[in-house]
Amino acid sequence: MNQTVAELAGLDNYRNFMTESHRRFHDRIVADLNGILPICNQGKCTAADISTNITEQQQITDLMQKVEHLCVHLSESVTDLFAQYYRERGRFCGATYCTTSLIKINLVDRTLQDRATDIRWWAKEPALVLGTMELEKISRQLKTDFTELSAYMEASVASFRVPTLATGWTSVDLSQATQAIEKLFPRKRELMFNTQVREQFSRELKSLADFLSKGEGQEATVKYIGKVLKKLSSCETYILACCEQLETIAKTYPTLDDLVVTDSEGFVIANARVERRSRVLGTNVSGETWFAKAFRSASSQSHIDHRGGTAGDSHLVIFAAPIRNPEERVASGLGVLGVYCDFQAEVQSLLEDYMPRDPDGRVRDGWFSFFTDERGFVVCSSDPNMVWPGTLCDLPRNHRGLNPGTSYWSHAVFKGQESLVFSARSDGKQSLSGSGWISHLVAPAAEILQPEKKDSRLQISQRHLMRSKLVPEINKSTYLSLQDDRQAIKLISLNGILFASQLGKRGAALAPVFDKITVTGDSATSRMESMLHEMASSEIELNLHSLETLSKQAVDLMSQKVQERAHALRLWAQTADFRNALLDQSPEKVEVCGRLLKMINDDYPIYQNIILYNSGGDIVSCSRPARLLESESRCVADTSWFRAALRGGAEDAVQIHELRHHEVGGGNRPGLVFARAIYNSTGNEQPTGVLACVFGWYNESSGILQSCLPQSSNGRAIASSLAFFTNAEGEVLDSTSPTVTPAGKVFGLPEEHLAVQPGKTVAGIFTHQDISYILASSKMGSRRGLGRVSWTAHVMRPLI
Amino acid sequence: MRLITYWVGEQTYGLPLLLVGEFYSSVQATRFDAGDSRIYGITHIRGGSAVVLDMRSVSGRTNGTVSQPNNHGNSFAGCDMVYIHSQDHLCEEARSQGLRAFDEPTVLVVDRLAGIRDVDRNDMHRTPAHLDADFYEGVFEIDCGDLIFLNYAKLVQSILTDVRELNK
Repeated sequence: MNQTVAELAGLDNYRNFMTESHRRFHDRIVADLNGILPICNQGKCTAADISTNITEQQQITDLMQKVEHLCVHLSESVTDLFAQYYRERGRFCGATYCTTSLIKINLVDRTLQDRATDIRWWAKEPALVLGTMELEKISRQLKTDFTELSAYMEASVASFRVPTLATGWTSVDLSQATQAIEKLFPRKRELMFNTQVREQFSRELKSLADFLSKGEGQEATVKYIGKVLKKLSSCETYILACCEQLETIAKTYPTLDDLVVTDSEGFVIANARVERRSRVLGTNVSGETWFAKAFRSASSQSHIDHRGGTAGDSHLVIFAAPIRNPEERVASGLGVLGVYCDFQAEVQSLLEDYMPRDPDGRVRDGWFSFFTDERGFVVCSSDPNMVWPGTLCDLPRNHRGLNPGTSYWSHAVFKGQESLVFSARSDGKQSLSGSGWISHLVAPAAEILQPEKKDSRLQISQRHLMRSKLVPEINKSTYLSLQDDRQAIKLISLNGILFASQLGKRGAALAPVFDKITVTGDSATSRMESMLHEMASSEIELNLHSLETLSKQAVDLMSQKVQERAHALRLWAQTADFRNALLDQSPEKVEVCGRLLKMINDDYPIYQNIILYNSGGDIVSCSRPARLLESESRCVADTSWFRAALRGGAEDAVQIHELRHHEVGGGNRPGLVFARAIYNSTGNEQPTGVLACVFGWYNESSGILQSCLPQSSNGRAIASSLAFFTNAEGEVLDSTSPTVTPAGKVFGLPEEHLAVQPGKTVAGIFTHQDISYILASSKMGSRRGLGRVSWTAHVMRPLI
Repeated sequence: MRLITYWVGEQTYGLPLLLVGEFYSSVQATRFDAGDSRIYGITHIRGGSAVVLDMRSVSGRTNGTVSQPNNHGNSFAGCDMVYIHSQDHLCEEARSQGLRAFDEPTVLVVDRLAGIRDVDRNDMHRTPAHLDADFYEGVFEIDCGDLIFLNYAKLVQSILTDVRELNK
């Protein structure tokens, strides 16, 4: 964590955030301790009254001075204790909530990366490639065609200088008609892509052709007009094919606001939303950053931007990928696929996640979570009515200019409220090129720094608490120092009473002095001990909260991975090449299908294999034939996942099942199989086959688990901490520490951690091999799209 | 009678307050082997030297349990110490109550001082049979269990006798 001295200094105004009970306690104890000082003076005066012996008087004076020193020391300790308490709490909360910020940006980065991969694949869709390629060709030809058409029309005008009886038109009339047509020539792109302009142009051309056809010697011109009209008509065909493909994608991914395909000059040639089509087609987006970046990029990488959508009424994130001819190795761009995503809606639940809620289930007032881009503009926020997407974020510069992999927190006034702001930027390893977003979490300072007055969920004795690794060393040393102070007060009191006893009746006057010292000293030290206990409990609670967040992050990341893959499969299952290969299993069709599967697998290397089965469960084609073992090439008709996929309707979700070793797919480790039935284009018939993807989740899980290990303030994983996934049977699937939690074995977890409810998180204390740990477990939610996958993530860190 | 009470392990003991010169939290002591584990060593205090008696060893020997290894070390960290006057330095009040100390000052190392308690000698019960030592004069019932009353003079005498026996 990137914590600076300035941040710590920022919390020196801790008095502003002190709870009322702490404030009262502080004032009372300081007043009590100050009240002892006059008693000590009284004791010194009494010494002269009760004894004429100089040594005895000196002994009393020494005792009183010791009490005075102790009072001053205790008073300073109380003040230091509060400063230390609030500073430590701020420091720990800083680390914890910066981690939460980081978790959010990590989740979003992974979403962006997955979406970018999808978009790269979509840009390779044959319908889009063919459409842009053909339209580009027509566009080039139309330029020549219009020149030639002009010449033809000019010749026709000349031949009509003498009015004919058949038409009744003069060359003036004809000239006016041809001029109206020629006026539209410069609007070539609109003629191609804008239905209204094209229809107007076609009407005028047809009218001219009708007229000319009545004249003599105009056949060549009429024929040429027919050729131009045919070309314009084919434009419509290609545009419709592209639009249909985009509509299919939009239907599969409902959070997409719109998809557009542009030609090489930035004119929109197709979009997904029918209701906006007349307005969108033919518009030029060459001035947009996303278009420029995607079109100019040498690679097929996706790019990202955010701005108003095609409807112009909301703030959207735009992904863009170049469309290229896959047949040509060094191909210039044919166009760009732009995907307008209502990212606000997509990440709303993530933004609201990891934040406390009020009794009505809403995020508590004063808590905000939002992302800003590298310029400081808000991309999306948990409360768009308060933190407006598309506007400049009202945060100090240090929060807006973070370097990759760093975090920062500070005290700031946000929306008129004293707040703590926690910002984090991911290290960029998972980031999509160009995102560079920063996650901000804003919390009311009072809520963060004023802990709720409740005992920790873990019942740990004071002695154990003070041995705990979770409690900062400074607290432990304060605790020991306090014990010494308590003992010192006791010894002074005992010695004082002893001295008074030895004086006999003369010493009676000293008794109230030492009684008062004893009572006040005991009260002060026991209150401070209780304060330290509260501090330690609060640290434990924060640690539990931190572990809960990390375990939730682990399941969220894995769930997201699974859901994203399920979405992609739904789209692939609608590809025409697969339908064709199943209907006509000729070697040519199967080869085309195999090439397509390989291309998909190359783009999505997380799949071990992608296999197309016919309705009898036999393999038709697969992306990685070399990976298929003999046992895996068998018919899968009897497997539960295959049967379930065949039973599902055309609109049903993808079937997701866990696989045992070597069951299918060409791996020696267990995996997940995603299966979706393939239907004929109508979707009303029996399925003709099943498309199955074998997901090697362990390639993803190790990275996810590593990112969910609790970290110390220097950013390193805490020693002996571990994270692992278990399945519904409690078997360990993957772990950061295979020696402690070996994969395939059932790890002896407490019952409540094994039986955690879907979508819930539990935390508690756990002892394994004589080591006490705090443990948090989160189970995947029972959301649509997760199929039968029901995994639990566990994160542990040593307590003592 | 006013007693200073202290803990050794889980047991509370007491001895007359007026025998005490002062209470300390920790004092450095030099260890020497006197042949009796109850004698820990010697310390320099109040301008003179004093023998240090390990009360854990005293209680371990008398209650029939095996004495635990002394965990005090030389610093006696975490322990309390009770400085007992020599007979000559007892105050008037102590003498008038007939209290007896030793010829030299000693320091008792105890686990923890408990406090000061006023007791009536008439409430004292006989020492239980398992405490086979004549320097335990009796037992008082207190709110947190039994308070064993220690006769300091007899304790010192017992140690001296045993050491002399060993040196013969």
